Amino acid sequence: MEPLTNNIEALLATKDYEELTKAERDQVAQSCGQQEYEQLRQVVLSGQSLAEVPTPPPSLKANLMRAFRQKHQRRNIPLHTITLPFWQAAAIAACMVLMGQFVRFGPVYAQTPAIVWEANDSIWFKKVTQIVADTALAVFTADDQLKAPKEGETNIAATATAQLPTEKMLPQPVSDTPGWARRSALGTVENTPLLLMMH
Amino acid sequence: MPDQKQSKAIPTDEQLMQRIQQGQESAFNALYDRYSQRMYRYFYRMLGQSAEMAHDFIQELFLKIIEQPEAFDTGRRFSTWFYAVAGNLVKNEYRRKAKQPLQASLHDANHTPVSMAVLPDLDAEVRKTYIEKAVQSLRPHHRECFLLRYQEGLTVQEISEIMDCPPGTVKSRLHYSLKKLNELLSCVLGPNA
Repeated sequence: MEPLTNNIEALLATKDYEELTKAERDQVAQSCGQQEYEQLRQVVLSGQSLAEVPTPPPSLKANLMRAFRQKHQRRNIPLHTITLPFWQAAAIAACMVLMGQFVRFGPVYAQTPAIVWEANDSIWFKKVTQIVADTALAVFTADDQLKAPKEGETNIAATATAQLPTEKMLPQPVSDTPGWARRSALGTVENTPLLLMMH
Repeated sequence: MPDQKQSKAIPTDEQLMQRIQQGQESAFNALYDRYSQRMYRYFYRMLGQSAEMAHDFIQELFLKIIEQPEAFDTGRRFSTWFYAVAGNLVKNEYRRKAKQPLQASLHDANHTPVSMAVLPDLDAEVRKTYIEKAVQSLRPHHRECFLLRYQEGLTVQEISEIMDCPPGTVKSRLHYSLKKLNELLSCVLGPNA
């Protein structure tokens, strides 16, 4: 048997001898002849008509799909599938903002404020009322701690504080009392502009 | 135009593999549906018609896609790559067993051609069984060539890529396979059969 040419092999795979054109039959005649072509064609058809094999069981697919999920679950976080009601999203955002505030400003309340004389400030300004506790602390304890200003400076606060009727003031509120409570405590000083200290 | 629309609607194997690499489960599902039956058939015939082994091997084959989808270069043709991976699994199994499976039985039994008188009225099922055994009796390389070419319908060029050998070698193996099967099946496939 002579080796098959490209053409003959391709013809064998697709056409019976009766289906060949005249030119193709000539090629077959030169290569292997009609009888051998038909025999080989039968072999090719037999290969194409092999008995069907059993199908893979459905459990195999289920196992593979499970394995696929386990493998790719960690790699892909389907963010687009996460849905939240608006109020939950808003609550989460608010919580994050509050947490941020606590982290940023929380330690400041826990620290002892630095004392600075601010003679021009007034308790009536919002900014000042928020730190009135610190001011009150300084005012009530300033009697023995005030020092003379440096040369060339005028310590108005010290002067004003020295003039306060401290004997009429209420005792020092606890340090964690809110600002409005301290202001209320200090409010017993009548007709006296209270000088404040800020940190 | 309908063909173009259809081709847009149905993703190619390579596109499915791209999506699998991105972790899309539906793509893996589609690829499994496309290839499970034919790869099962391939393993079944290459591993001595053992359904159990075919089951194990097809599972291993698809697990390779699950575990290392990046191993496939999406610039290549998927079917060629997939059959090559399957062929390597089969070769490894042959090496492991260190023998050529199911090669001698039918060959020895039919070394002397069966008399036409013995098989006058073969019904279709018996003929198929006989052909199946004849195919099983081929050497693994020849059997693989024959099955890929005439059962799976791949081209000689594709088979040469799968088997990592020149196209001339594939043609030679095909020629040998046809010649051998013609000898073995002459009594079954003859005009009087």
